[in-house]
Order: sequence, then structure tokens, then C-alpha cells
Amino acid sequence: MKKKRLRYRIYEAVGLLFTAAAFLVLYTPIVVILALSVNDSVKSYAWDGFTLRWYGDLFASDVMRGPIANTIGVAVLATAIATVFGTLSAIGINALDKRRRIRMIVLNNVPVVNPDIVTGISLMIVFSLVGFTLGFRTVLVAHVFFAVPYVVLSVMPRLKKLDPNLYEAALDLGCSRFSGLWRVIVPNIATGILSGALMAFTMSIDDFVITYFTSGSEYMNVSTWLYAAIGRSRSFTPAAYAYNAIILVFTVAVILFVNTRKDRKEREIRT
Amino acid sequence: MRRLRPYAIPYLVWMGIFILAPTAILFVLSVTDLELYEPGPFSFTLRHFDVFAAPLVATTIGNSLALSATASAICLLIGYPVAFFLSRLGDKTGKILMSLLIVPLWSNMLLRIVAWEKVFTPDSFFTDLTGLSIDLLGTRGAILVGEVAMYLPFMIFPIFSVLEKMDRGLIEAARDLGANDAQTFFRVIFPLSSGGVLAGIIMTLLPAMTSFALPARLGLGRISLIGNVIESKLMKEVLGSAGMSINEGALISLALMLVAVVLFVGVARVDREGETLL
Amino acid sequence: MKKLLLAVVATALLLTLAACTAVPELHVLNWGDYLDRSLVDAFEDEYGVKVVYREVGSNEEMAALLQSGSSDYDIVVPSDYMIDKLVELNLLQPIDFDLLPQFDELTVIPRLLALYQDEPWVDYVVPYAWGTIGILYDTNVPGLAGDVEEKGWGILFESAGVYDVGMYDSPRDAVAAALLYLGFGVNSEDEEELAMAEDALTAAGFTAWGEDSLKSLVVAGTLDLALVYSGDFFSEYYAALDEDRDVTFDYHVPVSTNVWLDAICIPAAADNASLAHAFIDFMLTYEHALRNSDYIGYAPPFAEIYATMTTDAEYGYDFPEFDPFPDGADRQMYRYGSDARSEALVAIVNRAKSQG
Repeated sequence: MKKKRLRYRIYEAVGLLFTAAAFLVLYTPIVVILALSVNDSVKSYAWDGFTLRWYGDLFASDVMRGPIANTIGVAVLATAIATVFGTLSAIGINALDKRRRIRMIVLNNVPVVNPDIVTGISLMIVFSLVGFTLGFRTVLVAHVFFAVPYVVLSVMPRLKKLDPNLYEAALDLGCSRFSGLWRVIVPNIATGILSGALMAFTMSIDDFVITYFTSGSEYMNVSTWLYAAIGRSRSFTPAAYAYNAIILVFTVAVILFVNTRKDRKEREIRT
Repeated sequence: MRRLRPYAIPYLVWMGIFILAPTAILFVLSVTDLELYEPGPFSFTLRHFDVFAAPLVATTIGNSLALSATASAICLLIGYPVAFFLSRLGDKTGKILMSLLIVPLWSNMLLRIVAWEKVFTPDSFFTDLTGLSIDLLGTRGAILVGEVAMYLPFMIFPIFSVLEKMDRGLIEAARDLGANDAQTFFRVIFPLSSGGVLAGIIMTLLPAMTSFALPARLGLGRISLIGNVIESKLMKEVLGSAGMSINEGALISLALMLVAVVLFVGVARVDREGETLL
Repeated sequence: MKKLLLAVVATALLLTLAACTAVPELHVLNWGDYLDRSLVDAFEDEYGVKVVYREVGSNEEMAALLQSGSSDYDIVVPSDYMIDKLVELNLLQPIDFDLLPQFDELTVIPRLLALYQDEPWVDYVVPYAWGTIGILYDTNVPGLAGDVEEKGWGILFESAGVYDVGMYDSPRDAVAAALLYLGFGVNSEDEEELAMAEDALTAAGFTAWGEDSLKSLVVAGTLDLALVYSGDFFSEYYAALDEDRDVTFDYHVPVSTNVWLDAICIPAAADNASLAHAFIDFMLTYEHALRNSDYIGYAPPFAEIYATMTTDAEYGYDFPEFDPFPDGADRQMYRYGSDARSEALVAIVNRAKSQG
């Protein structure tokens, strides 16, 4: 018995070590960014003292307002559209026969596996040829385009677990088609929809490459603004670090909230 | 359920427009001399294929493959044990830690690159913070660390998903049948998680090959990756190339796309349910 | 009756709304951080118009936007060689100097004018800012300052293994530096000269290739020196002054170098050329030009503004590196050359990068 425990202890220790290493690698830049957000210097060649003024600047000055509004605006809108479109499409795909379903899934996954530079270029080329001016609309379309597949991928597994007859039964019992969807199917795949939406939002809010190619010069999200501003000391502001820090805190809060909330819901269902 | 099929139709149309059409256009650009900004009569030509032999492009492809393969391998070596460890923790703890591993992805990629620049500059802001003076800018090592930091979550997540859903009963069965730990792992667990591993490799290998901001800043512009070449062809070289740089860029992109789809179809064969990517 | 009344009122409202939004618009395409926006606001107020202001990061982007015709710009601010090409492509229209009374109040610095007055594009431009390319170096590195003064361009190409050198990742500028080092003209189309330039670039063993990033790398100490634009130096210099930091770097311009000129032009497809001229005239007003040049921090092309900035204590631009064309210096300006040359430049740099 003791031998077993030792071996498992070793495995656990190794696992813990690797996990700690992973966190170290992933969070080193995060810690540096947080430190940069409170450094009293624009260029930050060295530590110049603690200050909270960049957080103040974030709200007071206009420099980042446009890019931030654009970033969040597109992320929210694209996520909303992608979630609805993706969920409905997933429901449709799930209902197809095996061959067609596999074909649709392959098609669905192309934007996911394609390097984003290829996606960005393909979209840029399509927009150029059709004659659309690159700007907010093209960026929105591009973001919806690469977000929908994540929603589909997230919803599909839950759909599979669903009893195929549930929908028909609901209709037989008098539900309208809409009610059948909204009241029967959707609640059962809700976690899939939510995590899909979360993935879509994540992909959109930090996107650089695809926005870079589809936004032209008029429209800037935070990433493309940063790419342009980072070399110039006049337009770059450490408020960007502050913005990032706020997003991080917000994200961690959301994650903790979502994870504890799911727990409560499951408890409710069991009782 | 058949009744629900029509819901897939709009998506089919959408994908047709946004995947098939661009691919067709990329194909046309790759094998003709059509000018994107001044469309006119065009003819078939194979001369764009010469771009693969062009000096910078050839070294770039070599660099990209070597670096991204290494980065991907490191991600796998670190990522698999982490995914395994997390999947064994209680349901809640595992999920929370997994989510925390994704949090850095919400941080702006460019800012993370700037942060790594500071880390790799000796006697810099980072040195003031930690007392460590690291001199790695301009090296492949810097690019590797940057890429691993950027893409590790993409390796861990699919493996974690697959391991988490795996039927624990199978492991017990293997034990009961007399398998030791190593056998259980290599003959039961790992093969069952191969879909996740392949998905992780796809999600790290290709992005690593095609990033352009990362090698430009961490590699001090000395080490070019395919992403840099494509970006240059599409954005910088346009005016000075009789407009053909876009066609060359299109050809390289198409080649990348082919690689991505082939890899993906490979994954789909291993895991028939198409569930692996999430 | 009620419905009819409602319809009439609604239409009337819509029409007035439509009229309200029909304010004349001026579309401006400029580099980032290259114009004092408060002047734009002042212009909007004075003329009752709306200015749609867009920023790009390179001449190539500007040209691509003009070529694709996706939006019609009224004002663009390209650089010398791009102006050359754009005029060749008939994408710009000549400036009507009769509409610019303020232009007559100012004098273009004669040395600058001499550099481009024989070019085919002289009537298409109102000069905006000018400067040089040169060597930014770290003054903390022992002996470097002396070496830079002594070797000039040679310091960039003969320092393999001695100093960490950064080169500008722009084919035109990189090859120009090599050509200047070899004593040739920056616009040379001679195959032999270009081949020698390529050899110099390949043998140099640069530590870094970059654009905006080079100046920060020098100040941070990662690089000892780099080829930069005068504007890069100013940007770091002003930043250091603003943050009260020691200036541990300097900018050296060898005797013979290239002058860059950014100028205001009006695209051929401009929707509102008369408003564009009004805007240019507004910017040429002495107070506005002074304020704008002070904002950008680069050398103004007009003698009167230049004099004020360098002699008036309130402005204090009297540091030596500010003058793009001191006495006894030799200056050249870019021409576009042929498409073949542009392609050759790209190929040269690509080869040098892959073998260097």
C-alpha cells in the first residue's frame, strides 16, 4: 500500500511541477504588463516609480477611447451574431445525415485550422474584389466569420447527447417550432452555447491579424492601434497596459463567477 | 429531427461565400497574372511558383518549420502532463485552473510580446523588477519562448477536453487486467487522447509558423517566418513588384491553407466524431 | 387627415435632418501623429465643415489607398519618392498656388527648394516637413562617438563583431545607406553599384532589422547604433526631455546624406479640391504653421518658421541635429526610379537578410 501512495505522490508532484512551469511561462508577461501599467514612464526603459495615472488617463484622455470602443463594440456584436447564427446552424447540421454532416463540419473547421494570416488575406481579397471599403462593416463580418465555427464546435457535442426525439415530442404536444427550439432544445445545450459565446468573444477581443488585414486604415481596434502606436512615443500611452490589466481582472472575475454559478445550477437540477 | 435540417442551409451559403470563394480567388491569383488592384485580362502562368526558390523565402520556410515544430513539441511536452494533471483534479478545481490558463489569451498579444522584449533585454525594466538580466533578444530561443507562451493554452485545452471526457472505467479495466502504469498510459490513455493531441498540434504548429509580429520584435527582424513573408508581399512590396507580389503572397497562403486542411482531415480520420477540436 | 399631417411633418423633419448632415467634408490622409488636431478642430469651426481624418503608417499604404479608389481623399501627405510615382500614375493634381495667398507670405528654405525644383512634381506639392537619415548611437558605449564621427557611413557597414548595428527594414533606405557608404548617388540605377551595395549589406552582419523599433533598441542598449530618420531621433530626444531622463544617445549625420521631404498634395480624384486648398492655406498661416511644426517637432520647410523655432527662446529648437542642411553639407533627394529598380531594391535586401 505504501508503495502505491509514493508513486502517485511522485506523479502528482511532477504534474504540479509542470503546471507550475506552465503558469510561470504564461503569466510572466502578464506580471510584466501589470508592472508596466503602474510605472511612471511612457517608454519604460527602467522602473521609474509607482503611479496610478495611466488608469486615470484611460478614462480621461481620448487616445484609446476610439480603439477600445471599437474593440468592445465589434466583440459584443460579433459574439451576439455568431452565437445565434452558430447555434441555429449547429442545430441544422446535427440534423443532417452522417455524410453531409461530416462535410459541413470539415467546412466549419477550415477557419479554425487556417492560420489567421491566411483567413485575413482571403477576406481582404474578397472584400477588395467586391469593392467593399475596408472598415467597421468588413471587420464585423470577418469577426463573425471566424467566431461562428467556435460556437458550432462548442454546441455540437451537447446536441449529440440530446435525445433526437425530444423536439418532435415537443411539437406533437403542441409547441410551435420556435417554442420547441427555445424551450426544449436551447436549455439543454445552454452550457455549450455559453462556452461557444465565450470562445467567440475571446477570439474577437484580442484579434490582431485578421483585423489588420480587413480594417484598412480607417478602423482601428486596440490591437491594430497598438501595432501602429508602439513605435511612436507621442501616440503610445501606457494606458494600454492599464486597459489590459482591467480586462484581465475582469476576465478572472467572470471565470470564477461562471464556474461557481454552474455548480449552483447543477445542484438545483439534482434537488 | 429532419425538420431542423433547413437551419443548416444559411450556414452552407455563408461558408460557400467566405471559404470557397476566397479559396477560388486565391487559386486564380496563384496561377495567373491577374492584378488584384487593377483587374483586367489575365492569363495562366506558373511563374509565381518561383517565389518558393527566392532566397529569403526558402530560408524562411526552413526556419518556420524548424521553429514551429520545436515550439509545438515543447508545448506538447509541457502541455500533456499539465492537461493530465488538471483532468485528474476534482471537476471544479480542474476547470478553474484550466480557465486560468486561458486568461493570458485575453491579454493583448502585442503587449505580451512587448513584455517578453523587456524580459529578454539585459539591464531593463524587467531587471529593475526582478534582478534578473537576460540577454536573449534576437535569438531563436527568444522566439521559441515567446511562441510557447503564446500557444501553450491551445495545446493544453484540447487534450484536457478529451482526457476529461474519457471514461475512467477504461483505466480501471486496464488495471484489473494487470496493466502497470506505463502500459495503462501508453496503450490506453494516450491513444484515446490522440485526437486531442493532434488538435493541439494543429492549433500550435500553424499559428507558430505564421506569426509575424513575434519574430519581428523578439527576433530583431533577423529571423523571418512565413508570416513575415506573406505580410511583406501583401502589404509592403506591392508597388515595386508590378503588382505580382500579391499573387505570390496568395500562392504561399494557399499552400499554407492546403497544409492546414490536410492536417485537419488527418485528425478527422483519427477521431470520427469531429469532436476533438473543442 | 391625421395620417396625412403626420406624413407631411415626418417628411419635413427628414428633409431638414438630411440638410443638416450635408455639411461639406474634407478627407485627409496623413501619417500618424503628424498634425496638430487642435488645428483641425479650429479649421472645422472656422469654415463650418467636417474633417474626416485618417492615418496610415507608410507611403505604400497611402499609394495603395489612392490606387484602389475605395475612398476619395482631398489631402494626402506622401514623401518625395512616392510623390514622384503618384504624379507618374496621374493620381495627383497640380496645386493652384493662386488659391494659396498665405504661401506667398512664406519662403521655402532655398537649399531645400534647390533639391526638388527641377523635379516634374514640383507644382504638385506644398512642402510640409523635411529631415535627414543618419546614425543614432548610444553615447554610453566607450569610443563609439569618436568612431562614428570618424567613419560616417562606414560605422554601419564595417562594425561586424565590434558593435551591434541596426538597419532600417526599408529597401530604399537600406540600399541608399550602402550607396552613400560607397560614395555613389542614392538614386543610382547602375547594376555594378547596386551589386556592390548588396555586398556591403550582406557583409555588414546587422544585429537587427526594424523600422520604428530601432530607436527604442538603441536607447535601451540592445543596439549600439542604427540607421534612423531624423524624426526617430527627435521622438526619443523629446521623450527623454519630457520624462526628465538623461539623454544617453546622439544623432550623427555624415557629410553626404539623403534628405526626405513630406509634402501636402491633392489627389486627382479629390471630391473637394477648393476646400482642400482652403485647408492648405489655413495650415500655411504663420501662426498655424508655427504651432503645427512645434507639435510635430521636425524641421519646417519655411525659412520664417525655421528661424523662429531655432532662435526664439520660447521654442528652443537650437540643438545642432535640428538643421537638416547645414553649411558645407551635401544632400540628395530620392526619386522613384523605375519599377524594375524598386523590385531590384526589394530583392537586394531580401538576399542580404537571408545571407547576412
